Amino acid sequence: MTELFAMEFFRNAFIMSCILSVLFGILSFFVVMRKMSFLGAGIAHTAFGGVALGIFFGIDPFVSSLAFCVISALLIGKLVRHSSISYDTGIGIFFAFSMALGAIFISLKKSYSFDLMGYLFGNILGVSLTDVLLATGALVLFVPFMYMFLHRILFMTFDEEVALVSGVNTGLLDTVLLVFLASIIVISIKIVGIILVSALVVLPASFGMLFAKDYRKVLLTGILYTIFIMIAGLYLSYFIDTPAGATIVTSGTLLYFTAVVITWGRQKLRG
Amino acid sequence: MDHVIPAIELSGVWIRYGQNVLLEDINLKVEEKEIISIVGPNGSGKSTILKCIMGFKDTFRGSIKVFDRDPKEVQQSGIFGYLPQGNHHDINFPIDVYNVVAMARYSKRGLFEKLKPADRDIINGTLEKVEMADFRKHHFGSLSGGQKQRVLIARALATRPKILILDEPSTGLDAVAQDRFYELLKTLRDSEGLTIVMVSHDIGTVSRFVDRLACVKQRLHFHGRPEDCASNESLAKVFGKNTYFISHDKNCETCMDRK
Repeated sequence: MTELFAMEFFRNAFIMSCILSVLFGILSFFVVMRKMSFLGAGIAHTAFGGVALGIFFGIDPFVSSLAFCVISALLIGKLVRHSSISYDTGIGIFFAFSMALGAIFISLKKSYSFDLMGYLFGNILGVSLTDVLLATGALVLFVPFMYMFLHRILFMTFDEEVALVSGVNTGLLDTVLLVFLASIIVISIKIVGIILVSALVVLPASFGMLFAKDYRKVLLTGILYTIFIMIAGLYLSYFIDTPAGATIVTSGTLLYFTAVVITWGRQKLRG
Repeated sequence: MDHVIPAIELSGVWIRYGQNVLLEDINLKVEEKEIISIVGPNGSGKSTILKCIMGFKDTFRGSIKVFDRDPKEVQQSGIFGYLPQGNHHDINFPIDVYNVVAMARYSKRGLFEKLKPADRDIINGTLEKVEMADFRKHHFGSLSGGQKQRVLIARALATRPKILILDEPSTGLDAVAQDRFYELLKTLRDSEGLTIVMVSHDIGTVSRFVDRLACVKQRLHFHGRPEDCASNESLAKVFGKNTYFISHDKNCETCMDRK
């Protein structure tokens, strides 16, 4: 199994999987507990518009999709805060608009030589050292941020209005979290793809919640679970020759379902 | 004579939603260390008044002062301890009672949010005040409605507020639990010197425990001592003409029916 590390793309994908596991393990908890799971899918799909825009204007698709996703996430946040529109509605509007825009740009560009399927479903062969460095950059910024503001964010997640009157700057924290979420989603698209990345936003916390009743344990369980499914998915995809993103998400979901059945069975046995 | 600054003062407050007037010319003064309940039927604008006091509403006409300052200015200063309406918390939220109360102290700390022994004393002290100290390791979602209310009161107190704002605090509590809860509020007012503003639609029970009642239905129809409300015709305007004000003692042994 170690011979796979001789290949640069696998080495990069392996390191990146570990970094993304920590990022999603933490982010997932706050997204799921704030009932914003659809936001992950929404932002990821918004990236499609960004990628197509980049291809159309000859900009690096990573840069254009990052800008597109961050701006969309902030606009969704602003829209929800300052109007009567719910998160689901705001996301639904941006989601469809961006996908439609992407389809128009792609069709206008008569000839293109990029891996559209790779963007949609992920392609570990395309994971470069630059991607690893970007993921490392996100880790270096995100983990200290969470360490410094964990309990304020927890308070905001539990009870936003009360957190505000208790001195938590909920508007600023919410904005920073949205920027992190959008950036981390865009960085992870190379591995798991636009369509599948939303699984990494919801699965870690959902799995952790099955086994832990304390937020610190949920975060830790979520991180360990994500590391396991990403590494196992990578190896499995290599040996059975399937797309890495799809293998990670399929095995992760099956593991989650197994855990659901086990916890359900244990509860039944206890009566 | 010294001019005493009221804890809260609303002067000529109007709020509109489109063509509809939600609040009309509300003038209300709450003195420091007073317990006041704003009562009225559903949709009468009670909760909106609370939101205005805490600076959540920008679009109103008139003036609102909290200790002579703008609510937006003091909103994040920790002056308010707030218990929001209903039991909207996710029962699966993975957190214990101690950490729910601790949230209020973490937000007072600087970067890295390291709690000091004094913070722990405050957390444990407030849990004892609300008689929930024995439950500090319990999962918050597993508590009963009344126990949750007590924990959330402890969290509100842990910010060391000057004004406690409670939106329908008795929702989900049975009659005995309600009485205990309101008694607790009176004890806290006396021991902590708190000003307490709450919203309720249950005028009968709440009137036994508060210093002042404010009956609201779009307008402020009555503001005064609860005993003066019973004979006031404004009650019929707020709750309808078939409303009876039941004034009764703690065990309802000498219930007295007054129109």
